[in-house]
Amino acid sequence: MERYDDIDRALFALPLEEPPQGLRDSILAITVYAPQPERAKVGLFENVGIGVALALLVWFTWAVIANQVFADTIFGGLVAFAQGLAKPPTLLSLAMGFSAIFIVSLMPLRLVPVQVRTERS
Amino acid sequence: MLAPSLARVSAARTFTADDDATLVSTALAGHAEAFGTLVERYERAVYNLCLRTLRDAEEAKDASQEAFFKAFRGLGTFRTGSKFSTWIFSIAYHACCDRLSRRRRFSDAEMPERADPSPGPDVHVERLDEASRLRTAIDALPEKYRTVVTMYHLQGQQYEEIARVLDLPMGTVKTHLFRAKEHLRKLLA
Repeated sequence: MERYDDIDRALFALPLEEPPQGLRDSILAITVYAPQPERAKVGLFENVGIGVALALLVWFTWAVIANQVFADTIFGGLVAFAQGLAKPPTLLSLAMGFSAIFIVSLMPLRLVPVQVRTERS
Repeated sequence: MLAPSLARVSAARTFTADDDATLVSTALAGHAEAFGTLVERYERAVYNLCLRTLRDAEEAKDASQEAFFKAFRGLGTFRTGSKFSTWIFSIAYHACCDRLSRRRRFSDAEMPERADPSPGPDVHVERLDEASRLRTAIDALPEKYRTVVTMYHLQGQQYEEIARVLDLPMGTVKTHLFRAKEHLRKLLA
C-alpha cells in the first residue's frame, strides 16, 4: 500500500492546466479533417493505352502458354537475338557507342554568353 | 448553422462512450472522426505532459500537435492489446525530448529562461498562491523529475505505465519520484 505524504497530497490536488484555445481544432485540422491528397487525374488516352497494353500482355501470355508453335517461335527469336548480340562486331559497336556516350557526358559543356559589341566602342 | 469547427467536434462526440481500443479500430476502419474523440480525451493530458517537460506553452502546443499528428499517421502500427494512453504519451514524450535536444544544441544548459523569462523560479515561489507555487517548483525540477511528477501525480498514471512511456525500469521511476519530492520539499520550504 502506497503511503502519501503532504507533498504527494498537494501534487495530487493540483489540477491540470487548460490547453490553449483552439488546440483541439488545430489538431483535428491536421489529422481527421486534413484534406486528402488529390488523386492524379488520368486522361482518356492514358486509360486506353494502359488498357491496350494490359490486353496485349494477357493475349501474349495466353498465346505463349496455349500455343506451343508460337512459344517456340518466340523462344527461337530471343535466342537468335541473343546470338546476334554476342557476336564480336556487335559487341565492339556497342562498346564504342557506350564509350562515346561516357566521354561526351564528361565534357564540360557550359553555355558561354556571346559577347555583344556595341556600335559606340 | 454550425461553424465548421463546432460541427467537427459534435461529429466526434458520437463516439464518446467507446473505449480507446474500439475508437482506434473504428478510426482504422475508415471513420476518422473516432480519432477526434481520442484527441478530446487526451488533449489535456498530452498538453500538460509537454508543458511540464518543455516549460514553454507555445512549444508544448506544437509538441502536442506533433504527437497527435504522428499518432494519426501511425495508427496502423498501434498494437492491439496495448494502451492508447501509453502510446500517445510515449509519442508526446519523445517529441518533447527531440525538442529539448534541439535546444541543447544551441546551449549546454536546458535554457529554463525560455519558459520563465522572469528572475527565476526560486525568487517567486513565496509570492505566488499554492497551486502556482507548486507549478513553479515543479518547473524548477530537472526534466526527468518533473516528467515523472507530472505523469504520476498530475495525470494519475501507474509506475508501470510511466516506466513504459519513458522507457525506464520501474525502480528508476520510483527513485526519480522520490528525488523529485525531496527537491520539491526544499524548494517549497
